[in-house]
Amino acid sequence: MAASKVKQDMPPPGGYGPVDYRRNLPRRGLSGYSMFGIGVGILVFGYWRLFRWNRERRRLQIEELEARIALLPLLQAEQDRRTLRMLRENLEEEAVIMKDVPGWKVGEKAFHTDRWVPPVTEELFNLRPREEMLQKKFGFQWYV
Amino acid sequence: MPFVDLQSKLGINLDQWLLAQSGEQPQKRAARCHAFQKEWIECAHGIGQNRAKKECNLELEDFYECLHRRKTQQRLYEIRKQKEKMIKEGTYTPPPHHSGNEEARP
Repeated sequence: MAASKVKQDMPPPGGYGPVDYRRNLPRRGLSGYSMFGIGVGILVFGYWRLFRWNRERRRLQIEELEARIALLPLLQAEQDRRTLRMLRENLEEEAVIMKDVPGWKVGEKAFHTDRWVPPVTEELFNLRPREEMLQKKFGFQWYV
Repeated sequence: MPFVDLQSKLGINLDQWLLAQSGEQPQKRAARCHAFQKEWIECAHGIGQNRAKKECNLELEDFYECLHRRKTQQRLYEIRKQKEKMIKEGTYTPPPHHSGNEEARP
């Protein structure tokens, strides 16, 4: 039916232009070796920074320890005073509590020797509420 | 080897460092019952077991007490029991520093 002019979608007169059909895989970017090297370089740089900072932290830690050493006499004296005060209070309370118990010697020592035996936590905190003893024994878990 | 002190003879120290609390400790930190054990060992050394059991009984008792604190615990228990009994009867009230209201001091 060449006589009927049906509107069809036809190519433009003269045909289409040239079509670029070849592969386009350009060689660009770094090679695998250099990428690996960059990764390793970043790692090494990170390690260097870490080691430097760790050395600095060690110096700071040593300074803190030296400050503690300088304060040790004071802390030890306070601790000793506290221990002696608690023992004294326990002794006085024991005298009050056990006055009706027959055959009880107040302040009787459990050792035959005359040496000073550092008291145990249970002994110091015997007459106080149990939480205080537990806090003293187990309250301190770790330094930082 | 029994009866032969091989390590002293050879002048070496293979495992004596881990035998007694009173031996040399790392960081030079003494054990809690160092003194008691040292006294007992010094008392009981070289005189045979039968004599040591007779003569060094006090030192042994002190050492045992330091390790286990049996007598101390028993004593503290009796005090506590008597205190609770008296509190139940109403004849005793614990002072403030024994009931959690201690004034804060350095």
